[in-house]
Amino acid sequence: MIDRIRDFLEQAFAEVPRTVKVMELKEELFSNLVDKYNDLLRQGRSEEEAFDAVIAGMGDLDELVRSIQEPSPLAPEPQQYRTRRAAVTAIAVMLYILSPFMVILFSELLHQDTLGVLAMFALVAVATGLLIFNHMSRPVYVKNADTVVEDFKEWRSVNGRRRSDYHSFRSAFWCLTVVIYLGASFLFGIWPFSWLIFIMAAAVEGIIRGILAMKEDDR
Amino acid sequence: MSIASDMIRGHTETIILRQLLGRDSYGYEINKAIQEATGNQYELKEATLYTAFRRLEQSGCILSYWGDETTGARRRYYSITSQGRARYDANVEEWMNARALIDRLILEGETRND
Repeated sequence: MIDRIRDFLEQAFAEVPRTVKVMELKEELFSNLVDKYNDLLRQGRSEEEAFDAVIAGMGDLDELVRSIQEPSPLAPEPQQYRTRRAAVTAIAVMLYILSPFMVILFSELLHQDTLGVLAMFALVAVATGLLIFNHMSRPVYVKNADTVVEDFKEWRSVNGRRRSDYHSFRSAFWCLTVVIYLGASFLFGIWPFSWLIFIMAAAVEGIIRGILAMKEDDR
Repeated sequence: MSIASDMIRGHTETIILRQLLGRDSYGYEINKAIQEATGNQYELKEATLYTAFRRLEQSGCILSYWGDETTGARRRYYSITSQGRARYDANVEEWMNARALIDRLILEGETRND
């Protein structure tokens, strides 16, 4: 008979997502229904009568299930944000494509090779910056319910974001390094030692990575 | 009886808080106490009882924890918080006011008409 109570609950909750809260509610209900069933037996009811009384006394379980199901917190991204993000991406790509023309433009019309290269890298830097901004302003994945699968999705989303944030930071960082290297070398004619800037940049990158890792540990 | 059960259902949360004032308890024990207090005339539906538990828990009036039963399924026990006690006191006062008003409307109105 106790198995029949369990079967009844399983069926009543068959359509409900198996979140932690739902499983706990089911376990709580089961233990209390068994208590009631045993109590009725002690009062001299037959097994069949006790089972029927237990089932009849439950009432409308739908109401109960609704009370533990929160509305989905994953609100769709507003249309205006999506349009804005698309526009920013398009501008960034356009800047990437236009950047080599700067070299041609400056050297052909103004006969300024150095400035042309600088302008090209400046455009690349701006475009990369736009892409990073776009990426950072993307909404985070919000957990839908307390299930293991949702935990995993959240973890993957956070982890993936972190990785690609770091990736875009790195590409911007090295672009900037090249700009500074070429700029400083051309302007001040310090070619013999300006290559040191790359070693310095590598050191700075190492320090930044170390700081990020420390923050990660704190969290 | 149906008027009485409708009215009782409207006070499910206060009734649960009252049961928890003395000591921590669990679903069936609370329902059993209600049944005995009403001389077997009234018993809460499980759906009503556990919906009220969830609501009270969400509003911080009660806390729940799992018992360590060695045999059979685990029980979930509830205990009242200070916020729950405050809610109980407020609800009792509200009920006294409502009862005084209803008494005046139903009983005293009747005597005047005689």
